[in-house]
Amino acid sequence: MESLDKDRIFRDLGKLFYGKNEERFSLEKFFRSINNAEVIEERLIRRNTNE
Amino acid sequence: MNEPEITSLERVETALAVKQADRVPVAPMIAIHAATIANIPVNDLLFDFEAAQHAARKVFDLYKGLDIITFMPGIGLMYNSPFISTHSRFFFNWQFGAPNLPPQLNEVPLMGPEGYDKILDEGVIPWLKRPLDFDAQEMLTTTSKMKKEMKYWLRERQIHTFISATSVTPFDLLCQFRGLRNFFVDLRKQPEKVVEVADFLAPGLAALAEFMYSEIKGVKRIFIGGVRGSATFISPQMSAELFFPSLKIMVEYLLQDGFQINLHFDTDWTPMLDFFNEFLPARKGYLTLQLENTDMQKAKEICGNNYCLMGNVSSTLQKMGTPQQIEEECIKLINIAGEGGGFILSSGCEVPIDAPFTNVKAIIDSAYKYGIYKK
Repeated sequence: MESLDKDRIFRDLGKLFYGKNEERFSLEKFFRSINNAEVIEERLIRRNTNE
Repeated sequence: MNEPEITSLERVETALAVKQADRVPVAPMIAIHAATIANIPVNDLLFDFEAAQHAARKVFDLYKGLDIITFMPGIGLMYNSPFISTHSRFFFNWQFGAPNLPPQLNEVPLMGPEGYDKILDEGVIPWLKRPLDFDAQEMLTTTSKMKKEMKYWLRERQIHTFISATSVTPFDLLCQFRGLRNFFVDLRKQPEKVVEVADFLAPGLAALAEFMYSEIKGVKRIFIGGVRGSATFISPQMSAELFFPSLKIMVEYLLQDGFQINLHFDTDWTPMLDFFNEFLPARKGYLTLQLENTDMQKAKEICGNNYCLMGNVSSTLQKMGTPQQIEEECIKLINIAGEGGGFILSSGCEVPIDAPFTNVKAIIDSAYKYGIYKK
């Protein structure tokens, strides 16, 4: 991440997504959270629709 | 239009630095409106990268003279990303479907008053939902294509790409979680809790914008959207006590890491203009105030020394007015806010999807006719 403070960014992302006790964000854990999240149908993207 | 002496990129950078270039840069904020110009369904613009890429070129070529390309193919990532924002369909109930209408938010309360403590303890993940048709690989591919598109506009076309990542103020995000009415009751009943959680969210939201920038690259410039801390919704005193402190945390975070920031603040902030100077660091060249219904003359007087101003041709006029009326408004804006530089002639928020071509073109042409700075 160029000169950005990667540790600080991932620490703060951890708290944003998982709360004050989370020490560090990881994409692996985040994608697990997505896979485990409730699946919903009402927010579908309807492509090429002319309805 | 004569041959320019400097590139659009240089002209915009000069204005952002609150300096005077050869003329006022012009960049009506075209996003969903591009679907109308390219004659494609809105969802194709948002979620079909190649269709959006074609639309971007068409917009730029038809509206000759734009100094900034304000939407990128891949704009649909705002809606189709699990990284939280007010536009993410993973967190909020966005509806997609009608071919000629923008996505619609069905804003319903997602949390009760206990939700504030839940955010502190568990973050925003408890509210994450997975849309049935989400394809992670497609999201990653679009991100990668968007990165290349940024390079194309910056390097090959020498056109400014406006921003590389978007975020939102913690106040607006909490309002969307809680629902407008409940949130404003909370501002009276438990203001300390709202401030505590907004302050808690601020570093993470700034970090998320930096993370997104690191994936996309392009200009080191972040868009922060703000609406509900304005005079349209709350008093100046409430805004000072409840809205600006967490915004300050976000802005300082991003400035410390060398980012420019576009504060895209819709509705009316006129009574709060002093707060932009009082709360936020004076970093000339790093901060832009893109205003919608705010008094531009007062904005220039109060914030013009530190902020590049951007705006604010009326949306109503863009949709319902005539090119002549738009030209008159642009002349007024150029005279008010263009003085000494540090101004980009633009719409306040997005150009309406169905604004007539001739009206949007009138904004662009006005900058070339009336925005020339005398040497």
